[in-house]
Amino acid sequence: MPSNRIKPPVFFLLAGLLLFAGCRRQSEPALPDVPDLVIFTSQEETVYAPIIKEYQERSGLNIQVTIGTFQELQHQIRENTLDEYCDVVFGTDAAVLECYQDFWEPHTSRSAANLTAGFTSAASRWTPFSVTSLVILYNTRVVTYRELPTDWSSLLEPRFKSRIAFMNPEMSDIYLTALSAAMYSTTQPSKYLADFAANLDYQTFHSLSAVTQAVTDGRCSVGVTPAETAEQLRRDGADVDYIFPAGASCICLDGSAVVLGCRNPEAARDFVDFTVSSDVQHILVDRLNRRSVRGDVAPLPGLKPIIRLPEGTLLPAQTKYKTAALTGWRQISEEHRREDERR
Amino acid sequence: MKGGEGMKVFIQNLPFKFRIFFGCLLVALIPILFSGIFMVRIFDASLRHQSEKEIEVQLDDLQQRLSQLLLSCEIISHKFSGNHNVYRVMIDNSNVNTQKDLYLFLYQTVQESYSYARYSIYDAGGLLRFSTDSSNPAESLPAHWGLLRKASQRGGLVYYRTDPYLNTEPEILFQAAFPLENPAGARSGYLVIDFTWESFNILFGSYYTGQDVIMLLDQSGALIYCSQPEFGRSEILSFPELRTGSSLIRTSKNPDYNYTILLQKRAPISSPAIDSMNTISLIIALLVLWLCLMISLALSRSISQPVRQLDQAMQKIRGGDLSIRIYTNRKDELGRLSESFNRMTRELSEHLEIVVKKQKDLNDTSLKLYQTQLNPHFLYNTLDTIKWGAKINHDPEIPILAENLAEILRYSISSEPFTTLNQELLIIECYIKIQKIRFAGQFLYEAEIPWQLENCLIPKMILQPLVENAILHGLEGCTHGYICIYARSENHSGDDERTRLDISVTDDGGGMNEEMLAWVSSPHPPKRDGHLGLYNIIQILKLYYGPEYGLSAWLNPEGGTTVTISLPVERR
Repeated sequence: MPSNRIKPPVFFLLAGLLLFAGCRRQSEPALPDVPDLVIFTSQEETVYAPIIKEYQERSGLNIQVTIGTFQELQHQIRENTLDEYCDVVFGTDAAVLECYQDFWEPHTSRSAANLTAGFTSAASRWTPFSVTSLVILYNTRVVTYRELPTDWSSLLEPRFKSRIAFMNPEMSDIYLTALSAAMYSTTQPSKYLADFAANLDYQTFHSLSAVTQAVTDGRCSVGVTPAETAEQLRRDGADVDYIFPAGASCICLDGSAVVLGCRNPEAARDFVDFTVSSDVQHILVDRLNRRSVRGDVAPLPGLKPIIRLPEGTLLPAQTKYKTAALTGWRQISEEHRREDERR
Repeated sequence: MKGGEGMKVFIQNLPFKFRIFFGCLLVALIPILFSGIFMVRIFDASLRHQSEKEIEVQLDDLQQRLSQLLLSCEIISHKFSGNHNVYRVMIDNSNVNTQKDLYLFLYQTVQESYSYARYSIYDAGGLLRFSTDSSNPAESLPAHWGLLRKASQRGGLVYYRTDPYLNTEPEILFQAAFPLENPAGARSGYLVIDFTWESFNILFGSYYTGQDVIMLLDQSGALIYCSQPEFGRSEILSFPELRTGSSLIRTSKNPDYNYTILLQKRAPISSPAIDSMNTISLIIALLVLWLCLMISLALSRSISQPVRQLDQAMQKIRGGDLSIRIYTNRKDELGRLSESFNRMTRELSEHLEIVVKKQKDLNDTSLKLYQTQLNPHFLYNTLDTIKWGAKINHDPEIPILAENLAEILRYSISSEPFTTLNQELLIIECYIKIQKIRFAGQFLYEAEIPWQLENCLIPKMILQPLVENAILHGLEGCTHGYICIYARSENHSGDDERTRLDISVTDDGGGMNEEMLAWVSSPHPPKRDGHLGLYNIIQILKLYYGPEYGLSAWLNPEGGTTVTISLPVERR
């Protein structure tokens, strides 16, 4: 007959465990964190943070921000987990949004009437957020009048070797767009990419401010920046000027879209409307050096009105160009890294 | 249960040495280990408990100070809203006196909280008009965005965590704005209060040391202020990880303003200190373990070695080796036990030697007796032939001689070593008959044996040599001799087993000489030529019955000699 009495060794073991358990340090309760809205963005923090903060102030929602590149977005789309991943895609390349338009919920913004027609989705699958044109910025103290860059091929000139400020295209969607535009403005995109990487001396910057700073202080002769940033620098009195690359102007249009079947569609739609509201678009121009997609919000003085910019050709091919550019860039970077290791 | 039984069996099967060893080890080690761990834990828990109480008190004070500051801001805001001069200056800023009055009012009003915050007045469009900040306040604030919009929408004093990316002054962490409206209800401007990192340092400074961390979080948990300026964004984002370090973190939510204050203090005993204490405990435990091992080993060896030696010695004794001895210098119980063992083996060995010697001597005696024996059948047949030959020839003595000799022979070669006294006397009768024919009636023989002693057991043929000695030597030269055999028993203790039987053979002859008397009566007489029969009797008696029994002789007063055999009474 089995005995119910606790054996002494078991008793001591239990006592020891209780002793240790009783003396364990108390763990703090986890902070409750159930978001009311999950926003995916590939914008820079300087752009998305003030807008999301303001929306949070106004709506009182608990917002979670997920930052990633358009490739991560593509990965979620391929895995068919986008609706679990986020509620709204904010400030992502419009070409990508157009390419995957079946994954977005049709939504017509309350400000649709004020949006510039050439930059909107025909099927109302996405809503534009901002538009910018990329320029080649140069330091007027370093680059003489005779040496001025003219187009994307100027960045391959030997005199600019190691003196070009360019952000890592793996980290910035805008710079990936610029790289693909430059590559496909020539007949030999792969050769352009290889020559460009060599002229960069395989060195890139990690933020837009670092790019502008490098050109402003003369460490780099030229750099690629949004036109609005360049204009703001010029207006602030920096020794810089800029040119629009001849032949192949690079227009970066980004937009927002509500993910089809997302968990918080109401909040997502409200947020998309907020991004094209007059307040946000004004802040975009006044404080964030971006060009508004609204026709009733004027750009910075000195910049062309939006209607005079060449309209974006939002072909799915642009996404392919960007994918090809990114793949090529990664290959070149990897090969260079291996070569460095061999040395 | 099987495991428990198995353990029990295992412990029972453990050698004595290991049982002592493990017992000593556990008894010494477990309390030390438990007390070491327990003390560290209790010490840590006690200090943490005390620190937690202190943190709670500090948090209450911090909340109180924050509430007081925000309350004073509200009071100041309401003072501004009641000042008509503010509205006039907003409309008309050309009057220098009015502006001076407003400045004066501004400084007087904010005097109490001047060190904690900077006060500015913006007009309805967001342009700066007045400020207590002499450095470089923001020239304009967006009227439809952020702080001013919030103030405009909600009314009253509103608080706003400053947007680091839109703020031109990175020093400003937190702002408050109060919409100023003229008596007609029209918006005239905003009172904006800026709280910088320094402001919070002054407010909270006396409540923490350089190693503590204070954080002020807004309603959504976003960081407003952190007392450690070196904490970058990554440290703030990894805030949950900070909580698991060797620090005490407590939060307190302000019930009035919903702001959360987080206070992180270093643990009273830091993790490295706890680790050090644990390491020291471990080292002490290891030292104690080593010490316990040594002492247990020495103790178990000290106890088990004599026991093992005894065990091994017993094994050898079981194998027949009685020469084994245990050598020890100990004077304790185990030493005495060893000495007793040695004494026991020594005595056992001596006893065995005596027994073996006795057996050997007995065997020798028996062998000699057997050597004197002839083939009995041959002798019987010969004697029988002699007897019948004599009868045919009508010689009366020869048959008697042959018949009695045959009886004596038959008796002497029987396998039984003992016989009754009665039977022995019958053989003596036979012998006497032969000797009477030899000596032609020169002596008289009689036996006086109490009937109670007739069945007493005695060694076979023990009396014949005495009778023969009496006839041949005692009655030598006598014509009318007398030989008597008598027996008696003595019991001094009343115990039948201790009863002594004395059988005497007496004669009335010339008597034994003194030397012979001494030889017979000595306890260990040497072998003597011509007296082998007596010597054998003495040896048989001493071997069978011990040294206290044997043979004695003395001279009779009226002449002659009496020889007495002493032996214990034994009955069949």
